[in-house]
Amino acid sequence: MGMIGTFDAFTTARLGIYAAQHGLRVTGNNISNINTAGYTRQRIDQVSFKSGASDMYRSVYDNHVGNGALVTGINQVRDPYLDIRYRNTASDVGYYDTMLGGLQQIASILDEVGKGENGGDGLLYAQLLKLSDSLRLLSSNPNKDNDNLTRASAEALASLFRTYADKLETLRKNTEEAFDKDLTSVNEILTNIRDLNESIRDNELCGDNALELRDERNRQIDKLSEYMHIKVEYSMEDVGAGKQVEKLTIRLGNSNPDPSVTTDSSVLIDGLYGTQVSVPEKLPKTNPAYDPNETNQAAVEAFRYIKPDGGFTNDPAEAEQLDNENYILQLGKLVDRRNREWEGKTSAFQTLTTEELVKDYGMVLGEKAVFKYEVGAGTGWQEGDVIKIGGKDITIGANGDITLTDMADPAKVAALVAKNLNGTVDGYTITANGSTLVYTAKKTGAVDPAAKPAGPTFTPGTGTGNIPFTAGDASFGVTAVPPKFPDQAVTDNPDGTQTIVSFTQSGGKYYKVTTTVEHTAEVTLDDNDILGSLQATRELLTEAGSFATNDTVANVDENAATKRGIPYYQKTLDLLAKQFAEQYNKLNQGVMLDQDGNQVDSITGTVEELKNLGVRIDQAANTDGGFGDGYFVKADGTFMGTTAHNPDCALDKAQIKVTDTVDEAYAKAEANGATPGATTKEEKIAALKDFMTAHGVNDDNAAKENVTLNKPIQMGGPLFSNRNDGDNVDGINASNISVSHSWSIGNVRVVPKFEVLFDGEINHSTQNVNVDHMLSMIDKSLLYDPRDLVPDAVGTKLFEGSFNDMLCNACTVLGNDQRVQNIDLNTSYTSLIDLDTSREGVSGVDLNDETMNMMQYQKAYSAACRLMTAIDEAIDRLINNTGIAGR
Amino acid sequence: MIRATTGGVLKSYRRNLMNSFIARNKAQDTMLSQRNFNSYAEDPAAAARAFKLRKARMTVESQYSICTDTQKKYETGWTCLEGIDKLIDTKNGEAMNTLKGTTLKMLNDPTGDAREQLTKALDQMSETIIQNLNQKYGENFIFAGADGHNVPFEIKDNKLYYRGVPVDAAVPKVFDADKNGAQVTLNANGEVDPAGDRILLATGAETISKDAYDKAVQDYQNDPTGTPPPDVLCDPPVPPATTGAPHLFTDKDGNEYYILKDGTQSMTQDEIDTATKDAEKLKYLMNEKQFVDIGLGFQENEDGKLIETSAYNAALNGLTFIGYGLDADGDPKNIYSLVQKMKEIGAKVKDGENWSDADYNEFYGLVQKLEKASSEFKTEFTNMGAGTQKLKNNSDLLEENFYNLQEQYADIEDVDMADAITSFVWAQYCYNAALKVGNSVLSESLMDYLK
Repeated sequence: MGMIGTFDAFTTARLGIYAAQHGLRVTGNNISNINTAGYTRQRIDQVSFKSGASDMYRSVYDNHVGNGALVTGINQVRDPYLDIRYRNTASDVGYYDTMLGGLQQIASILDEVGKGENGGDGLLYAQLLKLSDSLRLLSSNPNKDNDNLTRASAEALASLFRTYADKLETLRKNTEEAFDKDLTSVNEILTNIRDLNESIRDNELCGDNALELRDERNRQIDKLSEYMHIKVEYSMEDVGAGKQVEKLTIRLGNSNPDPSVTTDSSVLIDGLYGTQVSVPEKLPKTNPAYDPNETNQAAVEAFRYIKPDGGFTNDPAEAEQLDNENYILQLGKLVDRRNREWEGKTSAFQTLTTEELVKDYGMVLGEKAVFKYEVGAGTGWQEGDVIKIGGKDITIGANGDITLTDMADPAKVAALVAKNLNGTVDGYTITANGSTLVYTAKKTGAVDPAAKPAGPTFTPGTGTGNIPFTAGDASFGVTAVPPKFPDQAVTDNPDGTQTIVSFTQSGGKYYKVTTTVEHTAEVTLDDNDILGSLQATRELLTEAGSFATNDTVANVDENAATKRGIPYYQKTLDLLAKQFAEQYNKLNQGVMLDQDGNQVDSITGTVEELKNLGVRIDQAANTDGGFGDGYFVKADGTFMGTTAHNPDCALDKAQIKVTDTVDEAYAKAEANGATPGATTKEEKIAALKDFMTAHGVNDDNAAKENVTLNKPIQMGGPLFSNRNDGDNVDGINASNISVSHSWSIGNVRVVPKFEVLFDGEINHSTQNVNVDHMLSMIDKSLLYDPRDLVPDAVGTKLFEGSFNDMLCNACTVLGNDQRVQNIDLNTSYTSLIDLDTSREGVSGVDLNDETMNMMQYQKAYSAACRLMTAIDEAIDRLINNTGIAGR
Repeated sequence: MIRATTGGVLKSYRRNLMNSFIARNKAQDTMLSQRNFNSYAEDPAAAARAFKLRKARMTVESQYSICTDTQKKYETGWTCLEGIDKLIDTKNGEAMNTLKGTTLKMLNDPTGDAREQLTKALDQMSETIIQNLNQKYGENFIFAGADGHNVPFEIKDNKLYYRGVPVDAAVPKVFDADKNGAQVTLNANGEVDPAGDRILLATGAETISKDAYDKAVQDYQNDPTGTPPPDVLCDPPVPPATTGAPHLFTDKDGNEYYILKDGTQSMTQDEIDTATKDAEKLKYLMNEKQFVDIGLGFQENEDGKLIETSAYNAALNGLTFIGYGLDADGDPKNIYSLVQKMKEIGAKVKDGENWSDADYNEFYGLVQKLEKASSEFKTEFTNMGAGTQKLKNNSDLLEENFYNLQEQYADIEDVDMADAITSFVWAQYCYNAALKVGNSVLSESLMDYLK
């Protein structure tokens, strides 16, 4: 049995107290944070402590007892799989919730259920019918009052169109602002997560789990997941010295349905680095033919962007800059808290061979100097002769250093000489190679011929013989030159990476080091790279459904034609207003016909009479000079001459137009009798004014002067225009539709009919054929073609039906869209609730649970204290009350 | 769920409480708004259907207004025509004060004791008829066709004009001398003269064969006390003769004849053109229509022309009732013009004088024609009554339709109050229960049992 420490048990009790105290503290912390948002319940990691090891010759009776409990750490109870599912679902909920909210706001404008008179006749819907009511009245009794009533109805209708369009535009702008705020929130979250990463890492390096910071980070990630679909990854990062810390990476969740798109997994957070999301005002024009796998650098497919001149480039700054109408998002560079950009380096080492070093880098290999001497056979020697070589005495003879016979052998003589000379010449090693003596320099390098070592010699000594030495080949050696490497070369690659080539030497070897440096770059996201509320807001701002262009479907989103946001409903309303205005403008304009349907050749009457007939006559307002202001013009824009001068009225003949410049008008007037010779503009205007006064019809003489208009005699005029201060019908839409200026001032009225009977000899003052056309137009089935509004629209038929049906259809589409989003939202929200409840089940604090823990730890604490008392009593017995027998 | 934590239970409770509150509010909204749905999103199909029905109701409402207005116009017109009818036939049951009575009195009074007075009475009555036809409904003249803003009938020089066109206008029939289109031109003296500017009309132009004329001449030569030969159209005299020779005509069949001078009428080409144009105008006016939408379907065909059966022609043309143009005898078909002609005959002789047989016969003939015109008036008058009734029936139909449509969309939109109240009470009950549960959720935990 091994030794038992007397006071070991105290340690056991103390550790028990510590462990219980820790447990109580953690329990207290849990209870305190029961209402803290995002708090994850904590628990202590407690292990049984055992000191010492097993002895090699341990006795079977030697039973180890543990030394108590150790608290090795405090951790969180969290299920990462639930987090992943929760965040995936959160992005769905974010998307559907925001989309539904947007659609509900559109519905608050367009949906007329329950609005209007009679408990829900609608507003715009009812106003269309009120207009038809006015027309019906005008049809039954065409007079000025009913014309005014019709105009008032039309004004109210146009006003409603504009109000709805204005509200939709306000909604769009508000949504745009909300989008900006969302972006700010997302960027704040990204910054928070990045900074929390750094704090957590710092804590980890100091051995702290930073649980509270992790809770906050999880809360931030949860928030981020509502804005976009993300993928969260945890990995271990080597920070040197064998230390590894946890690294958090957040990417976009690969949600783009197009498999060729890779930007949908762009990195948002990479440990200490984070990006920011923005919506640039301009974006470089992309090359639709770009292929990232194109290897031919000169091919069109190798370029990402198109320049303003149509050329290609990979530099976004050189590219043509287009308005970012699609609110395309851009991810900024990954930077750390101090704004340092992320870099990723990978190096490859290549060992350089000698051949490569010599051939490519100018290395010269060193060579030693070698001098050779041929040794001949010794002659003339006698047995016993002593000769001196290298300062040593050499005896020739059978008992000497070399036999006489051998002396005749040059090789043996050479070996003898080499043996004795070696070491006598500084810097050289002397060896024999057959009959050749070889002087080899000890070091590589070139030898000056003048410094060539002296050749072999010997001193005959007691003999008279000879050893002949003949100088042979001589090599003076080569001095070694190390390789010369080029400076470090940095190459920018088309994909944005850099390649750095450098050289290094290690262990006598040379290496070529190729380092690839990845730089963080801005990433322009594709249309469908994110989900979540941010995407929903984008779609509310951009999606135009059938009004999406072919280009958008081909290059931005192949499903664009089926997605409907605010622009779809704006354009639907625009198309309705445009169709409405066009149809009624068309109905209210035509040429004068007789009772047989033939064009009337000419008509004569005062301007007022002709106007009452519905003939189109306007008052002029010149843009240049104003020489004809207040005079009447025909529908073709020519000024109207009085019949006082007919049939050759000078003004009629001159054909001066309201759009003529002063110079043009004067040239025409001068040719028809105006004061000649005017040169300055003022003189010309004065002459033109005189000319107009003499020959033109204005308000003063409109009632009395007869004028004659010739075929084709234009009748009516536009009822609706794009501004109420003019008659311009170009680009009429819901936001600008107005009662035309001419109608509003009475120059144009609803034309009841285009016929003039028997040259005006028969009146038909209450005839209403044209009003009937207008009346039936209300219920006429018309085709609404999106291409009428957006020429390149992908849709060809938005709807076919009456104006009211079209409006009703738009609301039905909106209602169905809301229902679909609502169902999706309910489904995903229910999932989210389930997941949240599950997460709460794992990570949430339960009061009963903690109460139990509290009781448990408290009991453990008491027990440990009791143990200490028991041990104390036991040891007291041992120390103070043992071995006193007989005392 | 492996664990039911305090936080989880509270969260769950909050969500359920919110759901309960939302359900309660929804039920409250339904009950207060009394509507099954308050947006398209709640029931797009029902909302679309309800709007269509509301549109139909608004349209019917508008059509009803037009229909009743038209009906009132017809009723006013009918009253005017009733006055005329009484003037023609049975005024206050006293036939003598009517056109018919007066003309009969004149016929039965060959001595003409009160002819002048009766003639004046005829004149006044005919003017009253015209005044009745110039009545207005609202601001429009009732019987003005499609020219409601202008007085339709005008009398100038005892001639009646409808919208500026003489009501007796007819295309003059030019005498066809050879039955192949050859005109006969007369000079100012009524002689057959190629250089003359007047063209002989077929109306009143009677012929006599050369044989008959020659025989009459021969008979008169044989017996100068006998009937002289009739005056026929002659050539201009060749001086020194003062009368020209009778102009012998030959038709394409070779028949030779003379034209009796009495009763011939002639016109200049301009007069013929004017009369022709007037006749065309009358023809146009009689076909003129003014349609209104009274709920008959009001629709245009593919060419943009109104399908006439889908609308109601509300134009009332006064001439439809009192006639227009000339008959085969060249007499007017118009009541006013007939009376004027009678008045002229009556004025030929003074009171107490007998009128000639010819005048009497002519007057008698005109009385016959007035009878016919009156008969046609009565037919049109009856037709108009039928038209008024049709409008009334249509108004009734529209009114019924209006209420039907109201009921139909009410069925879709309006909530069943019993159901709505029950739903609300149930939702309120659930909400109260949820609140109560909340009280116990928050109060109990193991902590409460610690000593």
